[in-house]
Amino acid sequence: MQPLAKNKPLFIGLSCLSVGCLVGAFGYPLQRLEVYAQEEIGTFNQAYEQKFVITESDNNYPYGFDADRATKIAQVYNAYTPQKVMLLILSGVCAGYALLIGDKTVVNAEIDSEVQAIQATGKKQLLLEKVKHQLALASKAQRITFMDEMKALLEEFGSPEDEIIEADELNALYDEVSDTSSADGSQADSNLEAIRAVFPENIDRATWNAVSKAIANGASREEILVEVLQSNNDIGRAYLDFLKAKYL
Amino acid sequence: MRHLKNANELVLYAAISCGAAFIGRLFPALYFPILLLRLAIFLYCLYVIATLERNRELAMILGSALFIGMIGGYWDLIEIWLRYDLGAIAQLITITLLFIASLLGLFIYVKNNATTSQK
Repeated sequence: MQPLAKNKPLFIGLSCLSVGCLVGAFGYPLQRLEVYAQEEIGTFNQAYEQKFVITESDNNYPYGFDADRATKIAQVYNAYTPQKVMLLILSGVCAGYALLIGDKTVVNAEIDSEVQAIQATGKKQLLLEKVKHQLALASKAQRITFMDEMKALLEEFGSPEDEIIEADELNALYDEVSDTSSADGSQADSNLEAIRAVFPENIDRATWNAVSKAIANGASREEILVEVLQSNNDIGRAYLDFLKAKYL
Repeated sequence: MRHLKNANELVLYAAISCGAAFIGRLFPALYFPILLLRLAIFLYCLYVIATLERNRELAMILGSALFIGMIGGYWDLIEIWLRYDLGAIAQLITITLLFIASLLGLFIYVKNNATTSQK
């Protein structure tokens, strides 16, 4: 960017200098002059004063001027002709040179501003990308934290999936039972009612877990009935059969 | 930057115009030719602004530069007139204003005609 805008200060300086010189050239008198007033009496006997400005470069007196009657009322004898002309020439030269280097400088300045604009846009885009990335990372981190917490919760309270599957299986079993044994349904229902009076439905799963653990430890049917179900009678046997039918 | 460049152009032309005014004052024989030249350029600028699409900016700069240069070139004399001969300056201003008003009228007329003929 710096090499492009090399001529910029020179250009601005020359422009200011040229304007200053021009305004300076406007001031101060250009030539020596005298101002004369001449009393006149018009056709209608009205007196008035005619003014004449006579400069040093006038070849003749102006029309109507009478050197005998006119009285000098003002004069400018300090002329600054060379200074004014010099200032004018300086102003013209500065402006001309500024114009010569102007094209390049202006184009360069416009390129500079264009480049700056593009850079600014790029920076903005980069920042946006960064923010997006950070947001995505934050979202991912949140998700992982949530998963961890969920995992801990699942480990503590058990998976809801099992319960869902359990409910599904129960429904299926219920449907099956109601479909197949609609004939001897009354007996099965009375059996189930007897079992449910001792073993409510919500302990089925836990009981089955304990039973399967006992089976894995090599316990016999009687031991299971005594130790796990604590009811070595018909209802206990029927419940064990029911659990086996349900979960195996 | 572009405005500064235009200002430079304005200053250059104003300097030339002011120089012409100085020449016209220092050599009274050249006063009338310079006045004619100035008027011709001014009218041409108005014509360009009114009718042509291109170089309008340049014409505006040139016209205003002529005006600035003329006033600047005669400024010390205008000061004298303002102080000692207000009648003359009043006449000058009246004539100038009338001239500008008629030129503006012409300018608007030409411009309106140009736009209507385009339609």
